[in-house]
Amino acid sequence: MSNLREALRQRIERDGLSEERLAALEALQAQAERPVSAPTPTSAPTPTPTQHQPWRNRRWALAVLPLVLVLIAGLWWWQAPPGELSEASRLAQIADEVAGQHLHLKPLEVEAADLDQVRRYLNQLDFRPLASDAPALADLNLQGGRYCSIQGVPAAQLRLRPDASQGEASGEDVGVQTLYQARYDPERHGPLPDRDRGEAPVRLRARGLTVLLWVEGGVVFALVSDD
Amino acid sequence: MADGPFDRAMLNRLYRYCLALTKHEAAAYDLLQDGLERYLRSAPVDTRDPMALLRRILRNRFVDGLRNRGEQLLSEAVPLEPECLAIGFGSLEDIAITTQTLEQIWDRLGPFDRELLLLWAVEGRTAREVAELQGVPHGTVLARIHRLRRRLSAQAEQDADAIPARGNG
Repeated sequence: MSNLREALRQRIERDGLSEERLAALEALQAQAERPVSAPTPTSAPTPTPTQHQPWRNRRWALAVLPLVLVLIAGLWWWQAPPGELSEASRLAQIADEVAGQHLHLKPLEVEAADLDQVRRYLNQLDFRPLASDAPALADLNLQGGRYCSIQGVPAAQLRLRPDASQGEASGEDVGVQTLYQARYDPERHGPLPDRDRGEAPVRLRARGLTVLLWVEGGVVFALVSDD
Repeated sequence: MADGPFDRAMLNRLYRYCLALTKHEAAAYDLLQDGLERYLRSAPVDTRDPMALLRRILRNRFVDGLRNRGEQLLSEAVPLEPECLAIGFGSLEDIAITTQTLEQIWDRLGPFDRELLLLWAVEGRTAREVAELQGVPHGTVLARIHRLRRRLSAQAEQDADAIPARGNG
């Protein structure tokens, strides 16, 4: 038995960032600092993009406010009752989230062409990342993976590239596709096509990207590509 | 020397804060990374308290995420019972608890209760400061503390009863 405050402190401070993650966050800060900390001596003292100009923001806010109010009223009128997201908006939300993550790809935490190796690294997930024979995944090679989350649920983010020959021919970053996998929760994700029942993935467009969504073996698959 | 406003110790504190909200390592790291990106893009260069500002950004993004997923923020609104008015964090000080019990309770607590306990036990915040950070009335925080005290005390008493029983068995 120990004092609650002390027990809580020990419980909470037991967790910490790994060396890789700390380094990644430091790199993020260093990147953002560069343009601010190294101005050219001859440059005019114009504000950097990170500098805050409250008066300008306020003027902007006032100008945009009526438009925002009209939009909110429109959405309010159009939307399903609160708490009951329609199936379509739930799918759109998932597609938007994974497309957003694809556009801001974060560094791989494990680089491996072998799914078993990636699985061994992603061992904190509450499901096992699966191999799938879905046609959309044919001719794609695994590059590695990292932890991420979809709709607040821990997920695996796997990076895939077309066959080496195609990748080299079309440039280094062209053709990269991201496959997200998370444990399927019908309440959270809503109904999705089930490949185990022969249903075809649903195809959505989000942020200019194509997203295929389906369920297989109790796992949600979301494949994002630039097509 | 830190490259940016947050050194390693600060990043770890913020990560633990995210972990208290999300409960999942990956989600906590994503939340911290997204919040930090937003901070670096938009924070005024002369921010007086970067930790406080980033913590607020992290909390807002977490709450936005809950709302976007259509989840109700049940623990955001707690009715104030009259006896709560005399209760503060001091009422939690005398509770003794086993690691195992704390582990079980921690997993079942809501995000805002975990946040409250972290702010008190690790960050040393007062109930009024927690209310300010959570954007709720002071009374709501007192009510939450009262409810937590009841829950933790009941569990701690069960533990105390169980220890001699196990010893005798």
